[in-house]
Amino acid sequence: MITVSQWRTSVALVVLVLPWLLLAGYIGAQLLQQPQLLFSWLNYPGLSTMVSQSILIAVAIMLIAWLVILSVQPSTAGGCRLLQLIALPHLALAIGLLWLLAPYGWLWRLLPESWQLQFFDRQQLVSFVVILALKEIPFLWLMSQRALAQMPWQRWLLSGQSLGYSRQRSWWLLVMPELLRRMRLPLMIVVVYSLSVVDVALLAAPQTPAPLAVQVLQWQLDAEPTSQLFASYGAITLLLLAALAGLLILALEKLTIWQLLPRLKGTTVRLPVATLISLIGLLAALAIVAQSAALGWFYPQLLPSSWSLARWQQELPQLLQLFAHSAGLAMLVASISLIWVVVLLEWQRRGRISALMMWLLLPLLVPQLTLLLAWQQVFALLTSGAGGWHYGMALVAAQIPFSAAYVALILAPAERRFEQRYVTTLQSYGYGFWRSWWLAKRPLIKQPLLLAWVFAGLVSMAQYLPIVLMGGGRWPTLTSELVANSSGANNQLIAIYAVSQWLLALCFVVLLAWPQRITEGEQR
Amino acid sequence: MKLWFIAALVSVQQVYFHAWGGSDEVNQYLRWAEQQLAAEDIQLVHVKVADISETVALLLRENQQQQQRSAVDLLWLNGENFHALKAANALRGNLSAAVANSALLDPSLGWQHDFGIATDDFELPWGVGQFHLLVRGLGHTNSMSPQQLLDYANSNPGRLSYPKPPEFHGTTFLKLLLLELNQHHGALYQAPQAAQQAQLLAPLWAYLDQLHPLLWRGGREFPASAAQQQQLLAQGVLDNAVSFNPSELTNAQRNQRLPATIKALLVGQRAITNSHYLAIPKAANNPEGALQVVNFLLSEAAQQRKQAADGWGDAAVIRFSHDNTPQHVFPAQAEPHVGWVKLLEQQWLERYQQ
Repeated sequence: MITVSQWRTSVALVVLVLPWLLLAGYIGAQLLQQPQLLFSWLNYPGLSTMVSQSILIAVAIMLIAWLVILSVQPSTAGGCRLLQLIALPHLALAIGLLWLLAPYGWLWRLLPESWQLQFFDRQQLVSFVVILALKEIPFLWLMSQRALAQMPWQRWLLSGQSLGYSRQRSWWLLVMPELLRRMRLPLMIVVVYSLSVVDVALLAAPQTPAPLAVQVLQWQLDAEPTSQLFASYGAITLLLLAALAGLLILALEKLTIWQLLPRLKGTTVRLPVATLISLIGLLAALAIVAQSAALGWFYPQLLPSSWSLARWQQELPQLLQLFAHSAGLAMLVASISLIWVVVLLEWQRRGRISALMMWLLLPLLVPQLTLLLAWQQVFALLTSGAGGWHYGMALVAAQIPFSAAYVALILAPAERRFEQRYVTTLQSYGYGFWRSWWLAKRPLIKQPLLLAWVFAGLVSMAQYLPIVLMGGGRWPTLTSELVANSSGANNQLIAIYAVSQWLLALCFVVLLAWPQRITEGEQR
Repeated sequence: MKLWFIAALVSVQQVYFHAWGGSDEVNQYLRWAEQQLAAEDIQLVHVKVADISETVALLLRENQQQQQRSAVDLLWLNGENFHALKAANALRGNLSAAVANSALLDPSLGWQHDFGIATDDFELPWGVGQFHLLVRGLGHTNSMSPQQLLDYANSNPGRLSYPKPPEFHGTTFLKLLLLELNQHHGALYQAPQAAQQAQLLAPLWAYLDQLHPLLWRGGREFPASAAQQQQLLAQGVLDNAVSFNPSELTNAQRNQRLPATIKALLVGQRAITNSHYLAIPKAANNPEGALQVVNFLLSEAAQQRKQAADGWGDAAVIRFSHDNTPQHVFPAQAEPHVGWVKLLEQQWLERYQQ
């Protein structure tokens, strides 16, 4: 006889696994077409450079992220400023920074020519890594704070000190190993993102040849059958690189814990990250805001020939509608993702859903276009010839896996620490399970829930491809317009949409500061 | 009240028009078209895409799955994207029979072939593109031979570039040089024969080997797109950009996106000229609406508005009843045979991307 919990588990498994079966079918079908083309793929001009560039980027980001984690200190007020940077869309950050710092940029116009630096330029490996790092450090900082909040690190430090170690030594020997272990997944997400990001890479990374992810997208968008096959080979290579990065992260963690941390003794690792990064982020944002109202701003002028808000006024009706679409979609996706993951995690407590976290996190590890084209067949059943609402539903459904991954990432640690007996006690008084959950558990994990919801919203807001491919263009958002505009040369318009997107994201992030500090509401 | 609402929903039919959304002028023009079409009870929805090949990928997938109803009603495309959709039999045919205003089209403009492939009535022309350079500080020159361009690069090292092939502006630049360096050899207008390939391509590669070290970043790095190169021009990093829209410079200077010192320049005496088109997916959900939109976009009013100097400025493809027949801004140069494109792109990558 099938029990309720087995039934639940199987439903959950089908929903979780189906997308990957579709992907496997899609890639499998393509690979079987002409296996002999593998050799011409291997001889594609520049392929080895593409792959080695991608590896270099991933390793650089991994080491930077690792340094950031080593330098983490329990929350200081300064870090909260970093949150504003999380809200700044990564494309906006890239555009703003390049325009500020790259040769002939805004800052160049202030400095005497002999001071000008060559190393931060457009389409250069270094600047690409710097931009990615700037974008990812706040995320890592936030996740480290979350991890620390769930560890009784003060108690550990005390017991370390009672054994005669210095405070700093106890931090390295007792707290840091656990922190590193807990940061494994966020680190992985950051590294995989650096492997698979395309839009920032098109601006900031070398193009001759480009990092592998850019070339994979270009192959996918090339209608020739051979290119489609090349894209599949490329996508599989990216997956392998991601797996490799995972192993490397594990190795680095073990090496650090066994070899490095015992030798650190009283050394402190402090990076002036918070101040520096929030300053740079603020400058980039300022550059974008200035551009959105500037007319005729050419080298070597320090200021534009005129300022005008006319374009803002002209776009306002569209912006408001897009704002509503983006916000509505983000709230809906975030809410459903949150409920979905909470339900899954509760079911997980009862009947085990094997490798739940892996299924949930997988969408962050696979190139998005490959995934969406593989899913398209199923979504078409929903949307074929139907009205706008059906496309809306398809769009929400297509975004959920990506948002849910971040929800899982944020909620899972809190869930693991939670003492479920609070809920069971209430249940023993005759309350139903979900009512007990609401009364006993929700208030205790309120902060992680809110943080997960905000992140899910931010992720939904940043989606472009699902809007075009699943939504059929029925529900344009600020991001889809920003990406479309960014393919042109109209700086002012690009800036207007980037600023609008930033403002919307800020609205979401402001919610975080609303009840209390971001690390409160935790059990220690 | 409720019935009225439903009736209103039924009588207005949406047409989802997937079109590149990177040009402000085009977007504004389509907003104008939306307003005009509203009078015909059609709601034109411009689905802005960063690259129309995203839509083409979707259509090919839909077609492969044999879906009955597509998300796309109408799309703006040309070249390889058209070739792929036509080859996959994913487009609606016999367009001119269903679009009354197609009778106005001027056959002398050469739109019957799209990058060397016959359109066969699977797409109708919408406007004309002419390839040229936008260059800073030229004085009175409005054309240059390849040799003069090389001289310019020699005296201004690091100031010129072109979009990286196979981006189509970059590929067009290569085609143009190929034609010019071979004095428009007749074989270039025919499918490439093995015997002539090496002989005709050699001058191009020799030329580029000389030119590249003089380009931006020593020719080891190229802008990813024409739009990015135009931004580099505006920011003062480069002295040139490339464009397919003869009105681009006027538009950009009017809206203060490019400085007034920039001028249009032809390499050789003529501009490679081709058309951009409108096509309807075979499985379009609202084909009648899409046909009506195409008919409107080919009307005198719409084509007139499109070529107006204060708007998009894209050349008309129809003969107007009263006065001027459409004229090219630059003398038109035919495309080399489509077979050369693959050769150019492939060999360029093999030589310059390692």
